[in-house]
Amino acid sequence: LTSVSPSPPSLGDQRPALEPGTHVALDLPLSMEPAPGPVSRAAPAPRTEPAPVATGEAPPEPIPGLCHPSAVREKKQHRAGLCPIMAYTATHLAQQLTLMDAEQFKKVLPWECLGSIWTEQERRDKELVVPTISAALSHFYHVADFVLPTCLGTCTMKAQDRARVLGLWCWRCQECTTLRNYSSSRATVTALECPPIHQLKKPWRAVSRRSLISFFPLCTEKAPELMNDCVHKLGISKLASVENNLQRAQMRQWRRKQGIIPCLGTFLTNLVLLKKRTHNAMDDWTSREGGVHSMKLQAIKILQQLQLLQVTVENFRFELDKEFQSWFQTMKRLDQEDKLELSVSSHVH
Amino acid sequence: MAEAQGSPGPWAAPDQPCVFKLVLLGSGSVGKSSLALRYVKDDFRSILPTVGCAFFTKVVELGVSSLKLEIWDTAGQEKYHSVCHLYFRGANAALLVYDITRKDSFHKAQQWLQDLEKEFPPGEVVVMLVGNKTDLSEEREVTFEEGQEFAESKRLLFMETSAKLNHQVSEVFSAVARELLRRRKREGPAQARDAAVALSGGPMRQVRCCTH
Repeated sequence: LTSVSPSPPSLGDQRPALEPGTHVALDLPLSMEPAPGPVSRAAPAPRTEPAPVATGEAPPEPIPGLCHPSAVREKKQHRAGLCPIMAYTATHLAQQLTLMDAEQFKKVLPWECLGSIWTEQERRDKELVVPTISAALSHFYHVADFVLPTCLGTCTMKAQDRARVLGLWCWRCQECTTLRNYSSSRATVTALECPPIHQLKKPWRAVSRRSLISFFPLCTEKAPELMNDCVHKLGISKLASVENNLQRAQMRQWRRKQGIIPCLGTFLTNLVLLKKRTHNAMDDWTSREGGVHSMKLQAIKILQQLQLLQVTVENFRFELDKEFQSWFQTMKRLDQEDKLELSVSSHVH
Repeated sequence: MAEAQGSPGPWAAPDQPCVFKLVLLGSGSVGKSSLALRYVKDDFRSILPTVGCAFFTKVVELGVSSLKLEIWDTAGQEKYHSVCHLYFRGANAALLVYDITRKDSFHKAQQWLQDLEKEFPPGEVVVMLVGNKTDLSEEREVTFEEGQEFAESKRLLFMETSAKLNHQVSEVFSAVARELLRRRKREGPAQARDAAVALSGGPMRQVRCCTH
């Protein structure tokens, strides 16, 4: 019973042969088309001439024919400093990251979230004690680390180039929120708000207004609230608390055809807070088991909510872009020194 | 009063069918939720491991009388063990489910029985041992006789089922329901007369032994 699906086709079926490092010859050109939608926020295609004058409207200028990663890779070799991420539209990026996030989130075993299990353990044991959670968290940081070098890039990157990349990420963040992928949205915000990127004054000034406007509501403390609102709107918290028949709740969620990937951190924080409250309750009225019991049941309700969300994740059905996925997987994970180096080098220019 | 005991069901309303609480216990992925789903919805599909507890109700018709079963389907995974105890309070009946292809699940069912014995005075709860997944009989690790022997030694009801093939699922629940009604008829008047006697946990009628 490892499959998370009551649904017939699972996302897992679509990605059987994803091996990091294998660069597949491109046989899915269709996947690169910008997703149909009222606002086509295609990112600028790889530019053939250096540093165009117009910096303003970075994301909304689609050049469809050139949005091909292989094309970019070739160009990239000719032109140092151009970031390959610009080959992808914000929508496409958001969808591909969502597929990966969904895969990770589905694997999370709800009981691993129980505060009592993982706060008591040594931090270094986390991978052994709660493997699925640490995998999900590590994926979250990988997404954040993915943002960082694309914005900082090499020292030859010009402020305008950076501005375009920043603009793309702002849009992508917005796209993730639209898709209800709060995990990637939060990871991007975290990355964009971290000091090395935050202090890129010149590029940020050059980022288009439209991008910034789409990004501002997400970058504040409101992000967890946004997620909670959405969870409430879809009635998931209500389903988990009122509906005792789990199977029925799960089927209902699945039929809704709407997926949500929550920010796992928010869940963990809630559970840890609950656990602290439980401890206080034990101190206060040791004789009264009722308080502790009700909190235990509350924790279970939160886990049931998490499980319902895992069911909704089945509803993300985008075409898998193997090229992008393997590129993402092979992307180097940054340690503190790398970040510092990037940060310093980016300030030279 | 009987309410104080946590089992208000059987004696609650005169016109309504009596309500009995039944808990499904057993280790992870033995098919507790599948049994419940098969019985209540006549459906079988792959389901996620239960978190905490799921809850179903079903009215059982037994000839002239009917009763309402509140089925509490608990999580089998070890991690939820401590929470499961919160759910089986006030239960009138318990199904101890094991997987016939997994010996460890059979031992776990025996542990659950010990937990039940700690919580309830003997004979207060109708307990039935259920060996599930008879459709996988070629991988069987627990023989029918083993199950039956254990059930007899502990005076439990016993049956083997397959939730997948819908084999003997409704029989399990109706056997428990019949037993519940039988007890109620015997003990009901006594309890109504003086609930305190029942609370003191006087020797009750022993559970009828395995029907096979």
